[in-house]
Amino acid sequence: MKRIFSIVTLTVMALVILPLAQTGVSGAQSTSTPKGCPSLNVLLLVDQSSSLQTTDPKNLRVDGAESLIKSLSNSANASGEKINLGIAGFGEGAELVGETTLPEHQADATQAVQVFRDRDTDQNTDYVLALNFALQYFADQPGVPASCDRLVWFTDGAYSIDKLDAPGIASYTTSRDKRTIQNQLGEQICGPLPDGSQLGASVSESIRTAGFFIQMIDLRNEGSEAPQDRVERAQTAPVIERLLGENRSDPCRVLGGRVEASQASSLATEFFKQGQIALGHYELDCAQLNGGYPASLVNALAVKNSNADEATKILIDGEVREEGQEFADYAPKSGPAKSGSVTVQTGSGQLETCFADLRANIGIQGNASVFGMATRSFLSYKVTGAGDGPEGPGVAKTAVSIAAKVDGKTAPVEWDEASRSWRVTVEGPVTSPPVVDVTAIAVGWQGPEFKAPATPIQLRNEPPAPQVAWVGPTTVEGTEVAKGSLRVSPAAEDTGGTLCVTFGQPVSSNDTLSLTLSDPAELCRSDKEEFELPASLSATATSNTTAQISLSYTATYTPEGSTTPIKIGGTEYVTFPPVSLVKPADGGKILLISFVLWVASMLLSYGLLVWLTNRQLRLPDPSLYRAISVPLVLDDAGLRRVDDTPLRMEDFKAISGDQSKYRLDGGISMERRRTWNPYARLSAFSRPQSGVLATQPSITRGFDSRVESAIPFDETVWVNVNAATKVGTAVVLVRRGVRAEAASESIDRAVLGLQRHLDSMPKSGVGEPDASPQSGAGASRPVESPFPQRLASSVDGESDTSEQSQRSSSAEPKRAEPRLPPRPA
Amino acid sequence: MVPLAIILMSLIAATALIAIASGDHAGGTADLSIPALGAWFVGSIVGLLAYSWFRTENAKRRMSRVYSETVFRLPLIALGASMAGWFIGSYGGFLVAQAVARR
Repeated sequence: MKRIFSIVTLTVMALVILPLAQTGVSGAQSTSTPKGCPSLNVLLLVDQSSSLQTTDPKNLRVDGAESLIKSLSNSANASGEKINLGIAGFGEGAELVGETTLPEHQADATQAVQVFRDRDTDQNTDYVLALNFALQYFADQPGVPASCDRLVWFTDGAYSIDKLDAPGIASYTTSRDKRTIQNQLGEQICGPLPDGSQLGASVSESIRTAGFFIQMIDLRNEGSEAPQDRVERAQTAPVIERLLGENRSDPCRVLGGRVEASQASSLATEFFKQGQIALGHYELDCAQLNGGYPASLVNALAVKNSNADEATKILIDGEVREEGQEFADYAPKSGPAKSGSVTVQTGSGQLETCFADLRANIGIQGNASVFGMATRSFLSYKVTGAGDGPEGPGVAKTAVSIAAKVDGKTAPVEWDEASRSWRVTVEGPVTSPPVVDVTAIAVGWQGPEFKAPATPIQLRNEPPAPQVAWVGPTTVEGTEVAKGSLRVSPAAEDTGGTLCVTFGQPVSSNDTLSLTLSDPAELCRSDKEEFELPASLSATATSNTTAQISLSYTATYTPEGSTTPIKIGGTEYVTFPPVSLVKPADGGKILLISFVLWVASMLLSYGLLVWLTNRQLRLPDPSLYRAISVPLVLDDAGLRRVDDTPLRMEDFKAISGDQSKYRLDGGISMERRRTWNPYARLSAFSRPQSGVLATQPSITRGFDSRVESAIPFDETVWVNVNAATKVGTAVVLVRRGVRAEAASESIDRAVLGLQRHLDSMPKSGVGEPDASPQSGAGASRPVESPFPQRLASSVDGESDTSEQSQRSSSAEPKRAEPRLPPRPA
Repeated sequence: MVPLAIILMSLIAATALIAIASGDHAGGTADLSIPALGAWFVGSIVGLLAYSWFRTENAKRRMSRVYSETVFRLPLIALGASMAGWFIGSYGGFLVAQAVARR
């Protein structure tokens, strides 16, 4: 919805602004105010009728007025000029609430508009009074031309008269009937004056006579309007449309325009825009500033950030020139910069609105003449920024485009990159000097077009001198020869004659660079089309620098059927771009540096990954756990607890150790792993002081001298059994807060699980060396079986026959593949 | 998702910077191309560091109680995007090396 509103607003703005673009703007006058204005008079006239209580309950019009003041003040400050600002309200009457000058009294102006926060109770919205007040206000401002007067007029609705005894009404009508007064609005504003009117002329006629501009901000918050307001708006809209609408031929139309704001929240932007329009600035597509805009064109630039709390910077070639919160205004006092490109920097916010005052020159390049006999003659026009003057480099076609008319007909135009100028084609033959009109427009700018000064074009009996430009590489690497050509472009084509070009001696600004022409004496061709002379650039020594080649030429023309050449033009110079001399790249260095960069990127990421992996391999914080140990016995009945006494919470103890190592009862320890392997599994190893150990859950299967278990964990049970003493210990580690019964069940489950595991694995057991690669170095050490003979015989692989062993091996692997431990329920 | 987003953004940024660098004929002169250097940094450093981060985050997720593999095979996407960014960044490094080797 917001987006649709933005599009509608922009469209409306375009419709309003474009008709204003009647006066051409060119030249390097350094002022931010409209052309010809020594200073600017702005009257801010704000609606204070009671309908604002519903259409703008949050008083956003005041915030908008602050934006307007800030916008005007910043621009005035940047350009060093003054703006006279009057602030007035209207409703049942119209009165001035403040008058000041910007930028020095910005705070006073901001303070003055605060009164409108409380002024929303007037029963009338009297447009006739408001406009008459503006007429009188501007009439009282001496010393400033009327074309420098701007009325910024905010209203939320329609002409409405509910309080008939308001004193101002009698000043323009004798009627005391509400309906009659409201119905007479159109006649009072546009004429002819109705019966009973007290005005000397219609309001629009008086405004046209006075000559000031009206910029109306019309808040049409239709969703919150009362039915009566809608009716009155419907009556008023046609009159406003005649006064400030699109039909400029309407006799009621005055200078200026109108924008609609469909919601109060957009008032700040609209006020900002009206401030810029008042200053004579035009909207510029903010996207143009992304890639850099030619600074030589920019006489003034004002941008608004969508984020009101954020710094906004205007930069030229990366150097901050202006900076401000939400707004930034750039208006160099000495006129546009000579060179560089303008960009705008914001943080998280986007550029919401951009306004600019651009200045450019268009000049004809070379001879302003055409050869009457030619089928086609060419005239070159260059657009330069006002900052760098007519001799500056042409503005690129990405920033401006031009259109040409020859004798009133549209003429073909093409961009010539080599000379950074535009070639206008004059179709021939012609018998009288053509009238050429060339205009340029700045891409993305809604301001007026730039007009080339009227230059009389001469009709000649011989063609103008051709243009010659270097076509080829502009970089010479080492002592290589860079081949290119000199392209001769006839200024008049297809006359049947012959064009000859004689080149002088090339002069280089660098001794090591030289230009060699393949045919240095003279080159003659038909003038039907462009032709080229092969040439080459070469260097005698390697260096990293820039050089400029200068090459003169003269031209002659031999008409068809004649043998006598005519000299055309004087001594001309080839358009030659700067040539870069670069040292050849050392292949070995390239490889070495590339390798270093490659390795650096690999090592950095590898190092980070290893570091992160090792951080993850740290044991969980021991303070989060509690542990208890339970004695076990190993006898003919198997592995079991010595007694079945229930565990008690007070028997649980804190874990001794840190995130590198836990020291548990019975000499059991759990240690973190440290690894260089960035893909290492997240696990830790546990060891017993003596005997063998098993854990539940576990990655290592069964008993071993070192077992691996996954981290992090909620609960772990270690079972340590000593074969010699036939006694063991179970240690259970649980999170703090876990009940003793649950821990007891975990021990029983672990002991039972280990017993079942042993019973079900006749070929593997605690006494077998661990061949699993995940078990680490310690796994290769054979350990003694802790079990009685009955159990040991079932787990001791060495006591099996080879046949049994083979069968068992094929049926069931000795070691299970590593797997994630089952999670306790 | 944050490291994966960084990986993808690095890939896009490195590609854009390489395009700019190529347009400016980076490596053709002794001038160090900032876009090429940026492409190396973003593609080969930031992208791979983000991949390291992604891997550890993914390992943490795998060790959690519940791990679900998405349809899009995020680890594969992360690996592919990191490798692509790394290759592009390496080309940026090559352009930088070319410029330095001309001095």
